[in-house]
Amino acid sequence: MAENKVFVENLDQSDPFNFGIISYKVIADNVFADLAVSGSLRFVRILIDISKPFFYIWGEVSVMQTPILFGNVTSITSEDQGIHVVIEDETYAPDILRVLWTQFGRENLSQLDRWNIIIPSQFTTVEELKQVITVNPRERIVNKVLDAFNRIIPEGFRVRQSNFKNNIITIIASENPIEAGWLDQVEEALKKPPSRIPDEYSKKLKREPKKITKKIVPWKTHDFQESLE
Amino acid sequence: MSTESFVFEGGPHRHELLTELIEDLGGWIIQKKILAQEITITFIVPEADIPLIREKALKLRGSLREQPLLGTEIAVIAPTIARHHLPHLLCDIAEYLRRLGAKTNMIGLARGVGQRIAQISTHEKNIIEEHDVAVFVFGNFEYCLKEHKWKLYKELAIPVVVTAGPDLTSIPYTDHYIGNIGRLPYRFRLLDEFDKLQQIGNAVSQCARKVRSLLERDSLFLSPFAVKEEIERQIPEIRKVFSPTPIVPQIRGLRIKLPFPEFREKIANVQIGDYFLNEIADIVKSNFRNYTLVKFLQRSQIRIKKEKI
Repeated sequence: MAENKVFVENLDQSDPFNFGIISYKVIADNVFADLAVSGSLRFVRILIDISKPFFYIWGEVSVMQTPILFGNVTSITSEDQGIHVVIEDETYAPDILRVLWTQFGRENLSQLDRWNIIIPSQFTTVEELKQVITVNPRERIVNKVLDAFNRIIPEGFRVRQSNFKNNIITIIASENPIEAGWLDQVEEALKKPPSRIPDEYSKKLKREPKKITKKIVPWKTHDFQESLE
Repeated sequence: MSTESFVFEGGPHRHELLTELIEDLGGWIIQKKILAQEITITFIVPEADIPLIREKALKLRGSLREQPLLGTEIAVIAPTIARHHLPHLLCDIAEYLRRLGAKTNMIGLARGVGQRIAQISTHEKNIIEEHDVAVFVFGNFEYCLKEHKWKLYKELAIPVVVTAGPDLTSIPYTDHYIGNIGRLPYRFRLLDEFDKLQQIGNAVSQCARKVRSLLERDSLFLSPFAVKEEIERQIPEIRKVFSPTPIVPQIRGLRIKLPFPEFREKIANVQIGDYFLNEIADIVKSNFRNYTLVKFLQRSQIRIKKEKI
């Protein structure tokens, strides 16, 4: 599905669909599929100018869930020994433990079994604990998407500047200091609708088994196998 | 005397006929491996006697495959060892060259990435020049390849094969260029992708053949394989080296995986016929770890060395 969301465009119009542009479409599709982020991305545009050189990636992230609080995944009661936390949804157990350990210290908590934890009552109150954030899916998705973008961008382009505003992640990468003129050029290009790579170019890198006309020599034969030249 | 290398695969019954024939013709058996009802013999024979070998292989009902890169050490080089360049393409190329008989080393440069910032150090250059042929695997953009990447391989003294994305026929300062292989995120599995690997194999074997034919005019005193056998016989410590190939044969030398400072004298005093090894070769420290490199001298160089003494 990711194939219809990703558009790779060349800002240098003299040879708009060269091998580099086609192959970066393949690379982007593969990276998004590998990291399983294509579901959380709505639309991606990759703008390339290789002679300056810079890479610009613009990605729109689909609507994100609200943060999950302690009150949603645990039941918390006040008892004689302290505050008793029972993990109800075990998928969040690692995150719950991580938050508790960093906030109160591992040595201060007594964990009875997989689900039951007791916190000494001088540290916090039940109401306070219920409002603590367990996981923020927004942060997680943004980190994943940024990781995917970093894998797409060529390794040599180490000067990077990323931005996240209104569900839109942008990243510009180059090996030289980033100039203001480049961003203007990018903004102008983003105003135009995205252009798809024509089929006659993209089929160059399409992996389809082709019909074989040549005779294949089996591994074991008493005749000579095909020589190199 | 130019030679050709082959691997024989067949049944072990009466295989002695073949090994005896190879020895009679003045060839070398590099490896003989019997596994249940299968035998694999890797050997080298003079080019003129190939029909005899072919006839014998047909009689024994086995198969013969050419190993054009046997006795060569090849460097497969990527700009760095990051996930961007490894493992897919580099491993495929290295593995395919191994199937053609070569010993391959995969090398990642420290700062080979980018355009303006791409560079190669003298130490890296020295390491690469210890090999017979270098295969550089680059990325997808024609601009990068033509304008910037040449500085990585321009000054190398060994033949260079470059593979990259753009579909070009040749690029400057290289012996061969193979296009349509760039930074790709998958392993090669289809038949036309194997054809690409075969093209690289052809290019590398052409380079190796060129080096060998240049050597024929003023040949080496002995074949590296003969010296290898002699070293194995005279230095028993080589059996305690745990790497899979303790002695790597190259076109014009040997890499011995024994520490240079301790074994320098011992290797220099290996006797081959009327000669000691240091009379027909230079024994130097390899840039790889602490290994020893034996560089054979050509006949004219040996004569000059003798006159000096």
